[in-house]
Amino acid sequence: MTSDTNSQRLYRRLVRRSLHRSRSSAVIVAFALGSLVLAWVATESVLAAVNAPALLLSPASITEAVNTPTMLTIAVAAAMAVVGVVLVALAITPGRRARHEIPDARMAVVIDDGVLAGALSKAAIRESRVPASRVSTVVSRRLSSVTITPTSGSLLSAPSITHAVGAVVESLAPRPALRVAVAVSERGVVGS
Amino acid sequence: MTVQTLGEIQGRVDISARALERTVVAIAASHLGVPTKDVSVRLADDSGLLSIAVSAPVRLPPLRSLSKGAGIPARILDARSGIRADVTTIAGAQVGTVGVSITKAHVVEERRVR
Repeated sequence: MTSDTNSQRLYRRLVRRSLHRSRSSAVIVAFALGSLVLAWVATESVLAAVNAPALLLSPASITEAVNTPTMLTIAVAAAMAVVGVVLVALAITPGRRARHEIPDARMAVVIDDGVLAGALSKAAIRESRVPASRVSTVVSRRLSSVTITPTSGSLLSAPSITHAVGAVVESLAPRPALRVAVAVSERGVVGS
Repeated sequence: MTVQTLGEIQGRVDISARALERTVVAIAASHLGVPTKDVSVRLADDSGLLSIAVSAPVRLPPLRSLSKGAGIPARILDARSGIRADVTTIAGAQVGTVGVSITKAHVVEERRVR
Protein backbone atom coordinates (compact mmCIF):
# COMPACT_ATOMS: atom_id res chain seq x y z
CA MET A 1 0.00 0.00 0.00
CA THR A 2 2.68 2.45 1.02
CA SER A 3 4.72 1.65 -2.10
CA ASP A 4 1.63 2.35 -4.24
CA THR A 5 1.09 5.83 -2.83
CA ASN A 6 4.83 6.42 -3.08
CA SER A 7 4.84 5.61 -6.80
CA GLN A 8 1.78 7.78 -7.31
CA ARG A 9 3.55 10.64 -5.64
CA LEU A 10 6.58 9.98 -7.83
CA TYR A 11 4.42 9.97 -10.97
CA ARG A 12 2.76 13.24 -9.99
CA ARG A 13 6.19 14.79 -9.53
CA LEU A 14 7.49 13.39 -12.83
CA VAL A 15 4.44 14.66 -14.71
CA ARG A 16 4.77 18.07 -13.12
CA ARG A 17 8.43 18.21 -14.07
CA SER A 18 7.59 17.25 -17.66
CA LEU A 19 4.82 19.80 -17.99
CA HIS A 20 6.91 22.72 -16.77
CA ARG A 21 10.21 24.08 -17.94
CA SER A 22 13.11 23.90 -15.52
CA ARG A 23 14.57 27.28 -14.52
CA SER A 24 18.05 25.87 -13.92
CA SER A 25 19.53 27.06 -17.24
CA ALA A 26 18.34 30.64 -16.67
CA VAL A 27 19.66 30.49 -13.11
CA ILE A 28 23.05 29.17 -14.26
CA VAL A 29 23.45 31.95 -16.83
CA ALA A 30 22.34 34.66 -14.40
CA PHE A 31 24.68 33.50 -11.62
CA ALA A 32 27.64 33.05 -13.98
CA LEU A 33 27.23 36.62 -15.28
CA GLY A 34 26.70 37.98 -11.76
CA SER A 35 29.83 36.29 -10.37
CA LEU A 36 31.93 37.53 -13.31
CA VAL A 37 30.82 41.11 -12.66
CA LEU A 38 31.45 40.77 -8.93
CA ALA A 39 34.93 39.31 -9.52
CA TRP A 40 35.76 42.21 -11.84
CA VAL A 41 34.53 44.83 -9.32
CA ALA A 42 36.56 43.16 -6.56
CA THR A 43 39.70 43.13 -8.74
CA GLU A 44 39.27 46.81 -9.63
CA SER A 45 38.77 47.74 -5.97
CA VAL A 46 41.96 45.93 -4.92
CA LEU A 47 43.92 47.54 -7.78
CA ALA A 48 42.59 50.99 -6.77
CA ALA A 49 43.51 50.34 -3.12
CA VAL A 50 47.17 49.59 -4.00
CA ASN A 51 47.24 52.50 -6.50
CA ALA A 52 47.85 50.18 -9.46
CA PRO A 53 46.48 51.11 -12.92
CA ALA A 54 42.88 49.89 -13.50
CA LEU A 55 42.08 46.94 -15.80
CA LEU A 56 39.13 48.65 -17.52
CA LEU A 57 37.69 51.31 -15.24
CA SER A 58 38.64 52.41 -11.72
CA PRO A 59 35.84 52.59 -9.10
CA ALA A 60 36.26 56.38 -8.98
CA SER A 61 35.63 56.75 -12.71
CA ILE A 62 32.58 54.43 -12.46
CA THR A 63 30.97 56.62 -9.78
CA GLU A 64 31.83 59.70 -11.81
CA ALA A 65 30.18 58.21 -14.91
CA VAL A 66 27.03 57.40 -12.91
CA ASN A 67 26.89 60.93 -11.43
CA THR A 68 27.34 62.67 -14.80
CA PRO A 69 25.28 60.48 -17.15
CA THR A 70 26.21 60.38 -20.85
CA MET A 71 24.45 58.54 -23.70
CA LEU A 72 26.70 55.53 -23.12
CA THR A 73 25.88 55.16 -19.42
CA ILE A 74 22.16 55.55 -20.15
CA ALA A 75 22.38 52.86 -22.83
CA VAL A 76 24.22 50.50 -20.48
CA ALA A 77 21.65 51.13 -17.73
CA ALA A 78 18.77 50.48 -20.16
CA ALA A 79 20.35 47.19 -21.29
CA MET A 80 20.73 46.09 -17.68
CA ALA A 81 17.09 47.00 -16.99
CA VAL A 82 15.96 44.84 -19.94
CA VAL A 83 18.01 41.90 -18.66
CA GLY A 84 16.44 42.38 -15.23
CA VAL A 85 12.89 42.42 -16.62
CA VAL A 86 13.59 39.22 -18.61
CA LEU A 87 14.93 37.47 -15.51
CA VAL A 88 11.92 38.55 -13.42
CA ALA A 89 9.58 37.29 -16.15
CA LEU A 90 11.40 33.93 -16.29
CA ALA A 91 11.09 33.66 -12.51
CA ILE A 92 7.39 34.54 -12.27
CA THR A 93 5.81 32.89 -15.36
CA PRO A 94 4.78 29.24 -14.94
CA GLY A 95 7.12 28.10 -17.73
CA ARG A 96 4.61 25.65 -19.15
CA ARG A 97 5.62 23.35 -21.94
CA ALA A 98 3.28 22.57 -24.85
CA ARG A 99 2.25 19.22 -23.38
CA HIS A 100 -0.75 17.57 -21.81
CA GLU A 101 -1.05 14.87 -19.23
CA ILE A 102 -3.03 11.74 -20.09
CA PRO A 103 -4.45 10.24 -16.90
CA ASP A 104 -3.61 6.57 -16.54
CA ALA A 105 -4.03 4.25 -13.60
CA ARG A 106 -0.64 2.55 -13.96
CA MET A 107 1.64 4.94 -15.79
CA ALA A 108 2.64 8.56 -15.91
CA VAL A 109 1.75 9.64 -19.46
CA VAL A 110 2.65 13.01 -20.97
CA ILE A 111 1.90 13.83 -24.61
CA ASP A 112 3.30 16.60 -26.77
CA ASP A 113 0.67 18.98 -28.11
CA GLY A 114 1.89 18.33 -31.66
CA VAL A 115 1.20 14.61 -31.27
CA LEU A 116 -2.21 15.36 -29.79
CA ALA A 117 -2.95 17.66 -32.74
CA GLY A 118 -1.98 14.85 -35.13
CA ALA A 119 -4.43 12.47 -33.46
CA LEU A 120 -7.24 15.03 -33.67
CA SER A 121 -6.39 15.78 -37.32
CA LYS A 122 -6.63 12.09 -38.11
CA ALA A 123 -10.09 11.87 -36.60
CA ALA A 124 -11.20 14.92 -38.61
CA ILE A 125 -9.70 13.45 -41.82
CA ARG A 126 -11.50 10.16 -41.31
CA GLU A 127 -14.81 11.87 -40.69
CA SER A 128 -14.60 14.51 -43.43
CA ARG A 129 -12.80 12.36 -46.06
CA VAL A 130 -10.65 15.23 -47.28
CA PRO A 131 -6.93 14.73 -48.01
CA ALA A 132 -4.70 15.00 -44.96
CA SER A 133 -2.98 18.09 -46.35
CA ARG A 134 -6.17 20.11 -46.02
CA VAL A 135 -6.71 19.58 -42.32
CA SER A 136 -4.67 21.48 -39.77
CA THR A 137 -5.01 21.34 -36.02
CA VAL A 138 -3.54 23.61 -33.39
CA VAL A 139 -3.59 22.48 -29.79
CA SER A 140 -3.11 25.10 -27.11
CA ARG A 141 -3.54 24.66 -23.37
CA ARG A 142 -7.32 24.55 -23.22
CA LEU A 143 -8.42 24.72 -26.85
CA SER A 144 -7.89 22.54 -29.89
CA SER A 145 -8.90 24.22 -33.14
CA VAL A 146 -9.27 22.15 -36.31
CA THR A 147 -9.40 23.93 -39.68
CA ILE A 148 -10.62 22.03 -42.74
CA THR A 149 -10.58 23.16 -46.36
CA PRO A 150 -13.34 21.15 -48.08
CA THR A 151 -13.33 19.72 -51.59
CA SER A 152 -15.64 21.81 -53.76
CA GLY A 153 -19.03 20.16 -54.00
CA SER A 154 -18.69 18.00 -50.91
CA LEU A 155 -20.72 19.64 -48.22
CA LEU A 156 -19.07 19.00 -44.85
CA SER A 157 -21.01 19.24 -41.65
CA ALA A 158 -18.96 20.91 -38.95
CA PRO A 159 -21.06 19.39 -36.10
CA SER A 160 -20.33 15.78 -37.14
CA ILE A 161 -16.61 16.53 -37.42
CA THR A 162 -16.71 18.26 -34.05
CA HIS A 163 -18.38 15.15 -32.69
CA ALA A 164 -15.70 12.83 -34.12
CA VAL A 165 -12.84 14.99 -32.83
CA GLY A 166 -14.63 15.38 -29.50
CA ALA A 167 -14.85 11.58 -29.18
CA VAL A 168 -11.06 11.31 -29.49
CA VAL A 169 -10.52 14.10 -26.95
CA GLU A 170 -12.96 12.37 -24.61
CA SER A 171 -11.25 9.00 -24.95
CA LEU A 172 -7.83 10.50 -24.21
CA ALA A 173 -9.13 12.90 -21.51
CA PRO A 174 -6.03 15.13 -21.59
CA ARG A 175 -5.39 17.41 -18.63
CA PRO A 176 -5.95 20.36 -18.68
CA ALA A 177 -9.21 19.61 -20.50
CA LEU A 178 -9.43 20.57 -24.18
CA ARG A 179 -12.31 22.31 -25.89
CA VAL A 180 -12.82 21.43 -29.57
CA ALA A 181 -13.47 24.09 -32.21
CA VAL A 182 -13.89 22.95 -35.82
CA ALA A 183 -13.85 25.50 -38.63
CA VAL A 184 -14.76 24.53 -42.20
CA SER A 185 -13.25 27.06 -44.59
CA GLU A 186 -15.67 29.16 -46.60
CA ARG A 187 -13.77 28.42 -49.81
CA GLY A 188 -13.11 24.88 -50.98
CA VAL A 189 -10.56 23.45 -53.38
CA VAL A 190 -11.45 21.78 -56.70
CA GLY A 191 -10.50 18.10 -56.81
CA SER A 192 -8.92 16.10 -54.02
CA MET B 1 -16.12 7.90 -38.25
CA THR B 2 -13.96 6.83 -35.35
CA VAL B 3 -15.24 3.29 -35.24
CA GLN B 4 -15.62 1.69 -38.64
CA THR B 5 -19.01 0.01 -38.95
CA LEU B 6 -19.12 -3.57 -40.16
CA GLY B 7 -19.48 -3.98 -43.90
CA GLU B 8 -18.09 -0.54 -44.72
CA ILE B 9 -14.89 -0.70 -46.73
CA GLN B 10 -12.03 1.25 -45.24
CA GLY B 11 -10.06 3.67 -47.37
CA ARG B 12 -10.61 6.82 -49.31
CA VAL B 13 -11.54 7.96 -52.77
CA ASP B 14 -9.76 10.95 -54.24
CA ILE B 15 -10.81 12.41 -57.56
CA SER B 16 -8.14 14.66 -59.03
CA ALA B 17 -9.10 18.05 -60.44
CA ARG B 18 -8.02 16.88 -63.90
CA ALA B 19 -10.21 13.77 -63.79
CA LEU B 20 -13.15 15.84 -62.56
CA GLU B 21 -12.61 18.31 -65.38
CA ARG B 22 -12.53 15.58 -68.07
CA THR B 23 -15.69 14.07 -66.62
CA VAL B 24 -17.49 17.39 -66.75
CA VAL B 25 -16.25 17.93 -70.34
CA ALA B 26 -17.75 14.57 -71.37
CA ILE B 27 -21.04 15.33 -69.62
CA ALA B 28 -21.29 18.81 -71.15
CA ALA B 29 -20.43 17.48 -74.64
CA SER B 30 -23.13 14.83 -74.46
CA HIS B 31 -25.72 17.38 -73.33
CA LEU B 32 -24.81 19.89 -76.03
CA GLY B 33 -24.46 17.23 -78.71
CA VAL B 34 -20.96 18.28 -79.78
CA PRO B 35 -17.62 16.40 -79.80
CA THR B 36 -15.63 16.49 -76.54
CA LYS B 37 -12.59 18.06 -78.24
CA ASP B 38 -14.58 21.25 -78.89
CA VAL B 39 -15.65 21.62 -75.26
CA SER B 40 -13.57 23.30 -72.60
CA VAL B 41 -14.50 23.51 -68.94
CA ARG B 42 -13.25 25.62 -66.07
CA LEU B 43 -13.96 24.41 -62.55
CA ALA B 44 -13.87 26.71 -59.56
CA ASP B 45 -15.08 26.87 -56.00
CA ASP B 46 -18.35 28.63 -55.24
CA SER B 47 -18.28 28.90 -51.44
CA GLY B 48 -18.02 25.15 -50.95
CA LEU B 49 -19.93 24.16 -54.07
CA LEU B 50 -18.46 23.28 -57.45
CA SER B 51 -18.97 26.01 -60.01
CA ILE B 52 -18.71 25.05 -63.66
CA ALA B 53 -17.98 27.30 -66.63
CA VAL B 54 -18.42 25.56 -69.98
CA SER B 55 -17.44 27.06 -73.27
CA ALA B 56 -18.55 25.02 -76.24
CA PRO B 57 -20.14 25.27 -79.67
CA VAL B 58 -23.81 24.58 -80.08
CA ARG B 59 -25.35 22.19 -82.58
CA LEU B 60 -27.98 23.62 -84.88
CA PRO B 61 -30.47 21.65 -86.91
CA PRO B 62 -30.54 22.52 -90.60
CA LEU B 63 -32.09 25.95 -90.89
CA ARG B 64 -34.50 24.90 -93.63
CA SER B 65 -35.51 21.62 -92.02
CA LEU B 66 -39.11 21.10 -91.09
CA SER B 67 -38.37 20.10 -87.47
CA LYS B 68 -36.52 23.07 -86.00
CA GLY B 69 -36.69 21.85 -82.41
CA ALA B 70 -36.40 24.14 -79.42
CA GLY B 71 -34.59 27.46 -79.66
CA ILE B 72 -30.98 27.90 -78.53
CA PRO B 73 -31.75 29.59 -75.18
CA ALA B 74 -34.18 26.86 -74.17
CA ARG B 75 -31.75 24.12 -75.16
CA ILE B 76 -28.88 25.75 -73.26
CA LEU B 77 -31.13 25.98 -70.21
CA ASP B 78 -31.92 22.27 -70.55
CA ALA B 79 -28.24 21.46 -71.00
CA ARG B 80 -27.31 23.44 -67.89
CA SER B 81 -29.77 21.63 -65.66
CA GLY B 82 -28.77 18.32 -67.26
CA ILE B 83 -25.06 19.02 -66.64
CA ARG B 84 -25.80 19.97 -63.04
CA ALA B 85 -27.79 16.78 -62.39
CA ASP B 86 -25.28 14.50 -64.13
CA VAL B 87 -22.23 15.97 -62.39
CA THR B 88 -23.93 15.38 -59.06
CA THR B 89 -24.85 11.77 -59.87
CA ILE B 90 -21.68 10.79 -61.77
CA ALA B 91 -18.95 12.76 -59.99
CA GLY B 92 -20.75 13.10 -56.67
CA ALA B 93 -20.17 16.82 -56.33
CA GLN B 94 -22.77 19.38 -55.32
CA VAL B 95 -22.89 21.94 -58.12
CA GLY B 96 -23.27 25.65 -57.56
CA THR B 97 -23.42 27.83 -60.65
CA VAL B 98 -23.28 26.42 -64.17
CA GLY B 99 -22.28 28.90 -66.86
CA VAL B 100 -22.39 28.02 -70.52
CA SER B 101 -20.87 30.29 -73.11
CA ILE B 102 -21.44 29.42 -76.75
CA THR B 103 -18.38 30.01 -78.89
CA LYS B 104 -19.76 28.94 -82.28
CA ALA B 105 -22.56 27.01 -83.95
CA HIS B 106 -22.30 23.71 -85.77
CA VAL B 107 -24.98 23.65 -88.45
CA VAL B 108 -25.82 20.09 -89.33
CA GLU B 109 -26.07 19.77 -93.10
CA GLU B 110 -28.89 17.78 -94.48
CA ARG B 111 -27.73 15.00 -96.76
CA ARG B 112 -29.68 13.32 -99.43
CA VAL B 113 -30.32 9.70 -98.60
CA ARG B 114 -28.59 7.59 -101.19
